[in-house]
Amino acid sequence: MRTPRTGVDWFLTFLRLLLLGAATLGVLLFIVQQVYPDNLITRWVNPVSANLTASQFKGLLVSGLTQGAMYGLIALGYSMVYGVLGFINFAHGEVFMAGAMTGMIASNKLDDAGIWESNFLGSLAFVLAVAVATSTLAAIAMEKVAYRPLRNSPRLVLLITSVGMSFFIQNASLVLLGAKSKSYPRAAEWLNGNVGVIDVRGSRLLVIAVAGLSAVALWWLVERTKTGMAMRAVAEDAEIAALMGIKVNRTIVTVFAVGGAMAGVAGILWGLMFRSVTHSTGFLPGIKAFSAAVLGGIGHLGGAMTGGLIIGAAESVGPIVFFEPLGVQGATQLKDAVAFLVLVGVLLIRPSGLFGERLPAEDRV
Amino acid sequence: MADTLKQLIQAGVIAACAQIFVALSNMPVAFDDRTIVEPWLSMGYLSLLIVPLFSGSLQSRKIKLVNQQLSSIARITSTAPDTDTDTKRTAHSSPTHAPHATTESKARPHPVFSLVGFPAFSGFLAGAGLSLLAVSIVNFDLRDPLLNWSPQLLEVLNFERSVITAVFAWPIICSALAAASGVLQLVNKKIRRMVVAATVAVVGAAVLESLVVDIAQGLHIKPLISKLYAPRGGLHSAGLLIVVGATMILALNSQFHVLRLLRARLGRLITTRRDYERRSDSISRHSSPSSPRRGLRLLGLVASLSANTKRLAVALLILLVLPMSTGKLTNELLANIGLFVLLALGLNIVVGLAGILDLGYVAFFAVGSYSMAVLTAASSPKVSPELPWLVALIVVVAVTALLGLCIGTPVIRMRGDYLAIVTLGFGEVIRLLFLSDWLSDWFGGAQGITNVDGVELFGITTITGTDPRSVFYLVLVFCVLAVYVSWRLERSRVGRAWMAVREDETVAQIMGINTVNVKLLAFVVGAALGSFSGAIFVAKVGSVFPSSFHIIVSIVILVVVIFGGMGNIVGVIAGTVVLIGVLGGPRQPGLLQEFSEFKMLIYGALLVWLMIARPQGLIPKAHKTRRLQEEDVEQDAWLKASDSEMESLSQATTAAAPPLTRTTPAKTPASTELPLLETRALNVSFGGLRALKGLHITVREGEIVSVIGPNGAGKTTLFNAITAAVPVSGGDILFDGCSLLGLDPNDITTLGIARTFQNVRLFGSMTIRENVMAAQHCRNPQSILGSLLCTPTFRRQEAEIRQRAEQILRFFGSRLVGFRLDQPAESLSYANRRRLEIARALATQPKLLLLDEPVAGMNPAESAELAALIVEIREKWGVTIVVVEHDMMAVGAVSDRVIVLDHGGKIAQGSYSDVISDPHVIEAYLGEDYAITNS
Repeated sequence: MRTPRTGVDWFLTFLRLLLLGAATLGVLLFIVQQVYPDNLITRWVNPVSANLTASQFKGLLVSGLTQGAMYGLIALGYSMVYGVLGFINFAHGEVFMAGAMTGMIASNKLDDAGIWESNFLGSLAFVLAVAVATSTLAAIAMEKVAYRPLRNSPRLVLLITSVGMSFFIQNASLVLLGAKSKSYPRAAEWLNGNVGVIDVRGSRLLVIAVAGLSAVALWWLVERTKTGMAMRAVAEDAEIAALMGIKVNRTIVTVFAVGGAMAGVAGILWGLMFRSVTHSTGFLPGIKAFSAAVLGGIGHLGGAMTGGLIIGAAESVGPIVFFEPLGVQGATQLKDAVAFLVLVGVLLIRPSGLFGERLPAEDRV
Repeated sequence: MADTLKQLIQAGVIAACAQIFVALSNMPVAFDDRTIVEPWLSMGYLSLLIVPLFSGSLQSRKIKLVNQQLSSIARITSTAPDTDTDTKRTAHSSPTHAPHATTESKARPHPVFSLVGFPAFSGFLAGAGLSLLAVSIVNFDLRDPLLNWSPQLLEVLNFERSVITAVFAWPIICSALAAASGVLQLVNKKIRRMVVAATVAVVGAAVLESLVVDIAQGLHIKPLISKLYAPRGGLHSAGLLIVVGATMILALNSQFHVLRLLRARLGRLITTRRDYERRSDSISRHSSPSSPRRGLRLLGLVASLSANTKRLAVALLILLVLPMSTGKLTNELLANIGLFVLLALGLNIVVGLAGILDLGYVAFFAVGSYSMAVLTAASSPKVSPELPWLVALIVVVAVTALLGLCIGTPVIRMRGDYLAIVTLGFGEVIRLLFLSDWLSDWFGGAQGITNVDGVELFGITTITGTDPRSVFYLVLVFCVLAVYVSWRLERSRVGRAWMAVREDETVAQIMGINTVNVKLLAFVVGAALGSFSGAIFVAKVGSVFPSSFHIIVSIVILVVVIFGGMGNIVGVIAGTVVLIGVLGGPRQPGLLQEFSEFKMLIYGALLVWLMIARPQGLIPKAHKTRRLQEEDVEQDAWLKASDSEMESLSQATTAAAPPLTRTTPAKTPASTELPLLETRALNVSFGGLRALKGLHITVREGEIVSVIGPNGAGKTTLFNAITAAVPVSGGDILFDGCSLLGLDPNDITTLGIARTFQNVRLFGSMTIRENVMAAQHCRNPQSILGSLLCTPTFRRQEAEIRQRAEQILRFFGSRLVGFRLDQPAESLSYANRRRLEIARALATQPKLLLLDEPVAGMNPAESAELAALIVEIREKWGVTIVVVEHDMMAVGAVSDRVIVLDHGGKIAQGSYSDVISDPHVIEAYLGEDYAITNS
């Protein structure tokens, strides 16, 4: 950050302070409101505010974190592709949607056959496999059709292509499967009840557990295997990697495949959590996941996961904690705006993200 | 052969998948009612048949290319034996010498077979896919996930007969079509063009049916309709003949080059304008404004304008008259197109000229609409000042421009792709805000603001959506305004700065352009144009809802702009007319109303295809389409022809052009005053690496100083530090006595330091003249208002810039002037690029010129010439020069003084001869051992 000199600099400084100030003020007011529900400011700013109980707050937080785990899984794909190819794969959200969609079809077929209820875990595993396979294939196909011919183009060209791809996939789903929102069959009973003493719905625990497992598996793949080493080498410098005998094209395909697989897992988790899926399901989670990747530091896998959790929690709790104390009515409607605000805030205050230290080569000079 | 077979099968399977996708997307059923040729072709079948056609032509083109390559190889190897009998023997006995030619020429099938038979085979596979689909529909029920797995689809696939028909017919039809597209590759290019043109014309005539009917009815020529179109829609067989015949005649008439000619015409539109500018320049140069020949001058202007203006006038006249005779639906369509043209022109400034990818452009459209509704509608929930429309418009534009500033400022320093996503986010947030309960007191939430009155202009006319014709005229006025604004700005200081920023932002800044301000300005101008569209949109629709401003709008405008050709006004307008006219906007129907379901699918696919196959759009900027060889031939011809002309011209302009010299005259090298440039204990470090360690150097005014040293000594880093391209971590840099620390690169250029780059960085797609004109940005006081109104001051300044540019370019001999002036910089040879880069640096009128390896990569003759030129630059313009160079001949030829760097510190300085014998220097270059033995 540079010392302000021009009008633009001053305005940016002002914006940064405004963002930080509003966030702090919101939190302070929220705390005050929690401690003295009947204080003057609250009565003046926000007369209709309902006080949150601790368990409500916890519920919001947990559901936010669950959703955040999915964002994190999707963000991994953004982050990996950005790390290796240096462009934002805008259509990655659609890969997630494709996973959720095929998962829905598969689980409904199983439900019709009666297997879904009788052997829930088995069919879940099957559905997961189908969804992961679809997402992986979608990501690979996308790379082959759209991105490979443009490998050495400027990243804006690739970004525009991926925007086109995103709209194509979204609308392909629309024309093939229809616009109606489609639902997953009901999950097994034990998932809907609370689990033991910790008083959290089972499905949420499952989501967090599966997301955590996938993230660990990915970490292992990237850090501990030969393929992972190839990925890291290509991310560092594709040309040199090729000279060292690494098959760059295959590595890039692997990156897309792995990113797609993670998105597929997220798709099934989405289905379990929300049970409904439409052709536009992928759009907003996609952008939020991108925000998460930027927040964590793009190219940094742990950062992507953490960023996802933060964004999920922020958009679930944020409207109540930040917006409502500031007097915004119907604050939960602005849930989707939170992720964007976080994105803008991160880029204004710390563009390299929470964990990112390395910027792509062309930005270093 | 196995490879070929694999490829064919692959292509066939891909085509089959594409056809099955099209079939299952419901297009064949939805378009079945739209007839193209009366009894036997509907849009539905066309949507299926276009796949094998396309795939077939792709295949055959590929095969043709391979065939050509193989035959050229074969030609080489077959001509070789005539000269050398040895090769003949080896070529025949061992295939290793020319494996391709010998093995392939035996195995290679006849061209007719490969060009027609191969595509036919993959077409057969594609058709088989459809047969398979038809059989599957009969036998399985997949209606549950796949919505269109329906009997209707089966009907279409069966040709309303039985499945057996489908099974046999599709492979035959598809392979026939693929083969036909192969045949097209066999025949003469002219015939191919004619056939393609006729096909396009037939489909076009069917698509445009409602428009043609409407216009014909307005003009009372109903017989034409009944001749062309069948009563239930679609062309008659007779109509088909008429259309094909007319196209053929047209094609013959224009020497078979319908499409190319059209493109050339459009290209000429642009070049003629250039000619006009040049001519009007020369006119204004030869006659002073107050001379009695003013009338004559005007006449001359009119005469030189005519070619361009005539076309413009004709186009405007058609646009003015056409809506009179057309019905409501057509006028509605025209009005919609107009609204999108406005949006597209606005986005074109942001994306096409300034290169900022704004994916949230819809925000400005939305804010324009909402603020107009609040200001004028009586039904506005919170405040309703009910201002007159024109007054409100001013407020609306101001509000939107302010919003552009507020959205633009935080994002403008971000990298291009982050900026895109953040603007997308802003676009979505703004829609969410309009939708939210929080602001529903103001904007009505999801219900929006309804019952907005039309536009009342001076109490004379009222413009409402019920009368689309009036809306169209209003839109037209603003479109003309927008075109004018874009056109004027593009050819002014700020336009060149936008293009420079688009080409290379870093370099643009180092050339003295305040990139932040310039980009913000693009954002604001784009916002203002978008708000016009929004303001009229409200009047047309009569209400605003948040759902009209979905993110899709932004994407559609982007597709339209890219489709037409980014940065090209004519292209953008043409693209909008075609796409919005035929397919329609996000919520506005186009001519093909059945397409509404598939619109976004097509837009998405189109965007991907455009980026891969034709990123420059339909109508790219004219000068880029010329072939390089043609240019070289023309340049040579020009050089031969116009030596004498050059002489006279250069005399004329040196007399007329303003003096380029700065006030300081060239001084003798050893002046003893304050140094012009001084670094004090300068430190630059990258992470742990200290690239410059406490460097002290001074450069006096009028000197030519060479900085030499081994690779990694910190020479370029020194330049980067001086021009603020890298952050300085310690010490100070003084220029003319004041510190450069903390200044932006453009400020430093304004103070009088210019540089070139080691790896030449020109504004590639800008012309040579524009490159040099853009670099005069910081010396040029041109105001935006002046360039918009084309004031005399503006014209004078523009002429000055232009002349100065030519004067500087002429300094480098005949290489960069003449025909080359209007060629893109990327078409230049390497040495000429280096020269142009120096010219561009000189155009910023520096006191100090930093040349980074100016002769690198040049041959000895060129190096010597350039070295002489460097000395001449100082003599002629009194510029102090610092050169980083490895070529010691050049260093010896130009330097008054040589500074030697190693490991970020100065190890020696002095005259060239002193320095090259300095033991430290020898050590740095050749290693310790050599230094010791030598000394």
